[in-house]
Amino acid sequence: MKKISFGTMVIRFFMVLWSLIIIVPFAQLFLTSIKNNEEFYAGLWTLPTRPIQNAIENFSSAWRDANMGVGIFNAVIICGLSLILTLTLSSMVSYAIARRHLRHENKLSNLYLIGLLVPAMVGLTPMFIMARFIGLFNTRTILVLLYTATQIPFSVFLMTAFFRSIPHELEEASYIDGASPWRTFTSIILPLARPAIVTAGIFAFLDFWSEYMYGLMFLTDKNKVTVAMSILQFKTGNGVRMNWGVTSAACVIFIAPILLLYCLFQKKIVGGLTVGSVKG
Amino acid sequence: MKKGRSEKLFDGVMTGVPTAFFVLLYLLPCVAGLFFSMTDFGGYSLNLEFVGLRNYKRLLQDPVFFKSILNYFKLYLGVALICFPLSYIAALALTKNNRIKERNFYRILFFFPNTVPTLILAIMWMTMYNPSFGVLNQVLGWFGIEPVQWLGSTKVVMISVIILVVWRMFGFYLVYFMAGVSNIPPDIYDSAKIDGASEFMQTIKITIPLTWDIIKTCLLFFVMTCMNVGFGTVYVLTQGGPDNASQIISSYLYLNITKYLEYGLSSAIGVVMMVITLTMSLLILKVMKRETYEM
Repeated sequence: MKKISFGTMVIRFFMVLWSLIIIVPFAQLFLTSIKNNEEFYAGLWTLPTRPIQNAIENFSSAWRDANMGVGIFNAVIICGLSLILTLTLSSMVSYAIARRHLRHENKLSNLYLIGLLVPAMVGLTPMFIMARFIGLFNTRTILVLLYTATQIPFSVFLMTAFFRSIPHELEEASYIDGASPWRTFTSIILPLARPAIVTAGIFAFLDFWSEYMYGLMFLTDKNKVTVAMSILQFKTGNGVRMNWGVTSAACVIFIAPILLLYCLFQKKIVGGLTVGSVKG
Repeated sequence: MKKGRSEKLFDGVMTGVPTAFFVLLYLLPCVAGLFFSMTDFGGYSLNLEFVGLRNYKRLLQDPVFFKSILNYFKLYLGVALICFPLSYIAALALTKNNRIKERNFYRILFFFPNTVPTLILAIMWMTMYNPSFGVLNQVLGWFGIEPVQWLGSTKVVMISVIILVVWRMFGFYLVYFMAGVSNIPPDIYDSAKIDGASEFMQTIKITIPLTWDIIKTCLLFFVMTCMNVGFGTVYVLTQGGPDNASQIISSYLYLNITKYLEYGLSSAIGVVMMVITLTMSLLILKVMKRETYEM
């Protein structure tokens, strides 16, 4: 028995070590957000003398300089609409692939698999031209459309696996009772699939919230940018002479909703990821 | 069972609407990239000139392009060879040892960086990597090691990128591997134990074959994520520098669009990128092909 507990100690040691390695960069970010610039350069672990005052200064100037109010407003609108569209379309096609015994079931699911494997950046130039051609350049609509299109493959991947795991009897019972397939889908299947929809939704939200690549390309109007693009301006705009306190404060504001989401839904996020990929 | 007319309509709408959306806005642009890679589109005028393979010829003469391909493979292999074994061993250790009751805490904590935007991770690590006051150099100093120019040296910069990606992805693959390992029914091990197989032999003969599919999925998955994660990391952390030493294909593509307005050339890079990812996926599927064991 002694040998085993020695092994346990070794495992614990490495796990605690890795926990520290994960926590330190985050701790540092939060600490920096309540320091002024001199305190930051004095050393990473020097504690601020007036943390509350620094915090107020950093957070208010981060909010003001990056125009974060506008950025968050835009991000919420764009993320919200993309989320609704992504989840609606993905759940429709996932259900059809998983449950409807389609004639081209394999071809269809391979099509979405290709989407998962081909990097969206390949289509960046044509997307740009298309946006200008249909007059959606520099609108928030084009971002909603592109975010949805690029997120669908992953959502379908997550949801198809889940739909396959729903017992057949429920659908059969519904058909025997005379319900149409539409009704079966909306009132039997979708409520059952809520865990999968929540997981896919969270992953989609995380992607949309942090996206800036399309944003930088498709938006030129300052009043339409999302919060991720505003954060980026701290990094590129001020170059080497960054104000680390303010930048960190902006980062903290930016990840606050993610932190909240993760605390609330950690089990769904971590568990939902592996629902379908593990056979069992 | 034969489907009636309304059933067919249902199937048609359920598959047709999302697929049309997905094909029009995602796959079609990707395919159209092939066409635009043979034009000189500069971002404004739609009077395109067809230039044939000129963009590809330019790429062949471009040392940065080759460097960016090499860096992509460095990143892929770095993560596949460092992160995967580490995650796998950690997953084995955490699921096999019943004494560690707090395993779920570790799992949740280690996964956390994957939910944080790469943009923020890169900004956080810029301070970690700072040569004069960064944590990494301080820790190295305790052991008497000279400060390292993490982001300033052309030799070290790719290692810094790989460290950040490994740090981030460790928890992601841990979650997958733990799910796979804990899914193996315990009675399989019981009979192996009766036959006198050591822990090590059990891992080689039972655990790895039974989780083979998951390892394969993870390797495949990383072919795609490598481009995106690599882009996000490089774009913020190093901007491809110094001297393009950390440029990877995706960041080089984006640079050609946003900085040089070389849309045609960047489409050609995109096509190469697509060829690489598809070849790698097929290669992984082929190499990893094995009889699957049903549990």
